Amino acid sequence: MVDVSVFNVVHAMDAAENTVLSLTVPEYNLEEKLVLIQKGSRALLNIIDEFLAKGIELERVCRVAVLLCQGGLNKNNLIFQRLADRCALEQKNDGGWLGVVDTMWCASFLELYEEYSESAKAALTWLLEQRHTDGGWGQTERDIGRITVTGQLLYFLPQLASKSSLNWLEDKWRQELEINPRLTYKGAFTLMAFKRNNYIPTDSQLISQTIQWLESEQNDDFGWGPWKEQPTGSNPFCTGAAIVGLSQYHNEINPEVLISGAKWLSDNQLKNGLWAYHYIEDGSSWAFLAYTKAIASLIA
Amino acid sequence: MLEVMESEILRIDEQYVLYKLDVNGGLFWLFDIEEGACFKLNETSFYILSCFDGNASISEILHQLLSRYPNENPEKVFNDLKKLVDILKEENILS
Repeated sequence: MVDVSVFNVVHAMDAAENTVLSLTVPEYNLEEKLVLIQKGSRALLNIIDEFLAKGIELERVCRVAVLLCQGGLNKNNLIFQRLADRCALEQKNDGGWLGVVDTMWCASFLELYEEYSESAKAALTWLLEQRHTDGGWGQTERDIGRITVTGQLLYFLPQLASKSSLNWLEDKWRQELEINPRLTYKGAFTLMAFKRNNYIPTDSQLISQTIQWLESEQNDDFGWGPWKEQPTGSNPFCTGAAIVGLSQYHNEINPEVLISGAKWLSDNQLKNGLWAYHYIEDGSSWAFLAYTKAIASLIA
Repeated sequence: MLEVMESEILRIDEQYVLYKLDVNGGLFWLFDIEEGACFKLNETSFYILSCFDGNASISEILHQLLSRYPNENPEKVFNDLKKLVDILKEENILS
C-alpha cells in the first residue's frame, strides 16, 4: 500500500504535467478546471498572507480560510497555521471574538486544529449564549435574528443546530418568499443549512420551491445577482452562494444550471485568480468554493 | 541514524498545499502555489503528506501509518516512508 504511494508520488513529480493532462473525465476537461482551482487557491492563500501582515480583521481572513478549506484545501500549510495561531491569541476570555459573525468564522476555522479544540469549544458555548430565545442569531445579541447569519451558522457549525433554530429559519425564509425582491443568497444559505442538518421542513414543498425559484433567478449571463435583473447584475458572491446552495441538492436540480453557473465563474475569473467584487476576498472565496462544489457535483 | 530520523519533525513547505476534490472518494493533488504546478497524488500519498504538519515526528507518523495499514510489514512501511521522506526533502517539498 505504502509502496504504491511512494511510486505514485515520485512519478507524479517526475511527470507532473503529463499526469494532470492524462487524467480525463468523460465530457469534462478536468485539467482546465484544475487550473482555475489552483489559480484561485494560490491567489486566496496570498490574500490571507497579506491580510495577516496588515492585521486585517479576523472575520475577513478566517472567512477566506474556511471557504478555501471547505473547497478542498488541506489545513496543513504554514499560512493557515499562522492564522490559527493569531485567531487563538485574539479570542476573548468569554470564548467569543467581537461579535457573532466573526466568532462563527474563527470557530469554524479553529475547529480544524486539534491543538485549538478547547478554543473552538469555548467559541461554540459563547455562540449558543448569543442565540435568541426564538432560535435565530443576529450579528450581535442586540440585533434581530437574521437569515444570513443563522443560515451560515447552521451550515458551518452544524453542532449548534437545534429544532428551534431550524424551525426559525424555515419560518423566516417562508416569510421572505412573500416579499419582493427576494434575495438569492438568503435562499442559498437556507438550503445550505437545511441540507447540512438533514432538516425536513414542515412545509414539504419549501425545498423544491426554493430550488426552483433560485434556479429561475439565474441571469441571462448565467450568474446570479441579489435578485434577477438587479441593475448591478451578476456578481461572484451571489453566484457563489447560489451554486453552493443549489449543489447541496445536486440530484434535484437541473444540471444545466450548475454547468452554466460554473461557466460564469470560469469566464469571470481574473488573470490573478480572483473575482472582481467590492470585498474582493469575500466574492472570490465564495466563487472558489462554488466552483469546486459545482465541479464535484457534475463529475460525481 | 534511524533514531535521529525518527525524531525528526518535518512539514510541507509553504510553497505547497494539498488539495482534495471531494468526489467519488476523492481526487488528490499537491499544488505548487509559487510555480503553478499540480502533482497528482493517490489517497495514500495524500494521507502521508498531510501527516507532515510540523507537529508529528516521523516516528509518530510511522505509528499512524501502521495503525492505518495494520496488515503491512512494519519494516517495509518504515523503509517506504524513509524513501519517500528522502525524495520529498530532496525536492524541497518537506523541510
